[in-house]
Amino acid sequence: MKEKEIGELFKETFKDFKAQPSDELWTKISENKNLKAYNVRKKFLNPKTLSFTIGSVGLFVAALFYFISPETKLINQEQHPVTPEYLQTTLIDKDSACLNIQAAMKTEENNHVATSKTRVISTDTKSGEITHQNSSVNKDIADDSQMLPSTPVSITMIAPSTSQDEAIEEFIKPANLNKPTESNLLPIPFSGDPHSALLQYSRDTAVCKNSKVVLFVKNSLNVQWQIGVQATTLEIYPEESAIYYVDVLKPDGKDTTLAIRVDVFDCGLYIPNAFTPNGDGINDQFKVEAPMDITNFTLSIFETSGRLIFNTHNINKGWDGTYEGKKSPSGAYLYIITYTDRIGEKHYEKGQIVLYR
Amino acid sequence: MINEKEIIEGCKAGKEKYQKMLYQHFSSTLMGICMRYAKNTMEAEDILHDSFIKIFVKISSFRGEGALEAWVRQVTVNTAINAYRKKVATGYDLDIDELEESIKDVKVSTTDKTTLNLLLTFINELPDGYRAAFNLYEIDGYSHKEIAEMLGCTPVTVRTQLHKAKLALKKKIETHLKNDLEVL
Repeated sequence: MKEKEIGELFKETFKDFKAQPSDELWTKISENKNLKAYNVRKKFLNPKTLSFTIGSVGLFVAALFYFISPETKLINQEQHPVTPEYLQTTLIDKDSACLNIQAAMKTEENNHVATSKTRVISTDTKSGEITHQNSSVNKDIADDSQMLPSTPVSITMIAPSTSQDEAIEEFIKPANLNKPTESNLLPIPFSGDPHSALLQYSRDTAVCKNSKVVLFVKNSLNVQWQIGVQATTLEIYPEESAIYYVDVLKPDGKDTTLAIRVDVFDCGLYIPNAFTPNGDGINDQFKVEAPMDITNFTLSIFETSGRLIFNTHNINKGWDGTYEGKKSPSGAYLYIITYTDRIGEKHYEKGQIVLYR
Repeated sequence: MINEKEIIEGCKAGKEKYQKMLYQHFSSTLMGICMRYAKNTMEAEDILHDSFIKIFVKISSFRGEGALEAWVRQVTVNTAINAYRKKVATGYDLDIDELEESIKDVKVSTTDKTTLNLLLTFINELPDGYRAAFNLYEIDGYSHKEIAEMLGCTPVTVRTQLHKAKLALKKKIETHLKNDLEVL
């Protein structure tokens, strides 16, 4: 029997091969968490359902306003400033300003869409996610500290996502804390109110691919990250955007699940360090790739003697290894690249590129 | 006859009813693929599970330019290769449970001596790397270069693996024929 015959025998045999998966497999697939979340998201993006949802959520908000407003007054009369229960801090390992600004931009976007997102996730009725969305709004308010008294409005905006009782509970809690707990004695950022900082955890973050991120939860009695780590901090080098879920035991003894979103994107240019202009179609040009929008791009290439041999403002144009129609010899060349990234910061990069023939 | 367009639209809208229809239509074909790429039925079902999740989530990017079947097949093969690569990356090897499982599988299929079952057993028994290369090249018709990219190795390695896979299969077939003759 020859090798070729073996290939043909198997090909012929398995051309239309079918097998029956076990009956339980469909159940397993249909109950998959990711798929369910996806289906829910799709349904809510459907224009028909969307208008219906917006309508019903509107009604719900109105109803909640009606029910909650007397209590709001009560709280204000009792001189209990309503402050966010959850406060968070961003941890971005790289301290470059660019990153921080990007992170801030990202978070802003997140907050803008916070209401719609909450609605989507809410059908899963995970209190952690809801709490977290609440907190991202709270954070906004904490930043604009003079806005504190208006907090109830913001919280009730989010309230439709959770059951009515839960929403009210979350909302009233800060004012109801009569007995001091240990965590109340800890130093608290953002606010002078000792009732405000019970549980702290990393806020949603945006980072560059593969850079270090440390997520944390403070003042929790037990912290279990759902990726299988039991520690108050989680050090990750994410390659893809993801939501990290963490089960915590709040100082008040209640279990909850928090969700911390880490958005990951490519930053910086991809600059190859060698190329081979031999016409084989592979790596024939020295070309820079930018994962994001950049402007004012300039690429200049110099011989080691200092003579400028290539210059372009078009990022899609690469150097093919020729100068005035003549092939440049193998060896090292220098490049200088300048560009402005999408947040307006100017960059200047220089380095060496090797040409192999 | 199912209405493909309707099902695709339904799946794109995240409707479970249509997802189930798609599943029922393709599950046996795709299970056939998974059985070839996996070591045993359990592993095959894991791959099939992941493939369908991927199919449902990614179907919004399916433009309908090619046949749906070709696309779902492609997704399944890719999922199988991903599973293999993950296995390699984690240094995961046969554990005791699985060893027993595969021995059991062999027993089942040697009692049922149809050519297909026998050949499937032979494929299942190949080392993971050989099996992936053999399936991709001989049955699913990928080129050496494509396979090299998928498996993350050089085309030369692919050729070597293919050659070794075929040698191993040849040996298995010959031994089997010899045993059969002895029985007779």
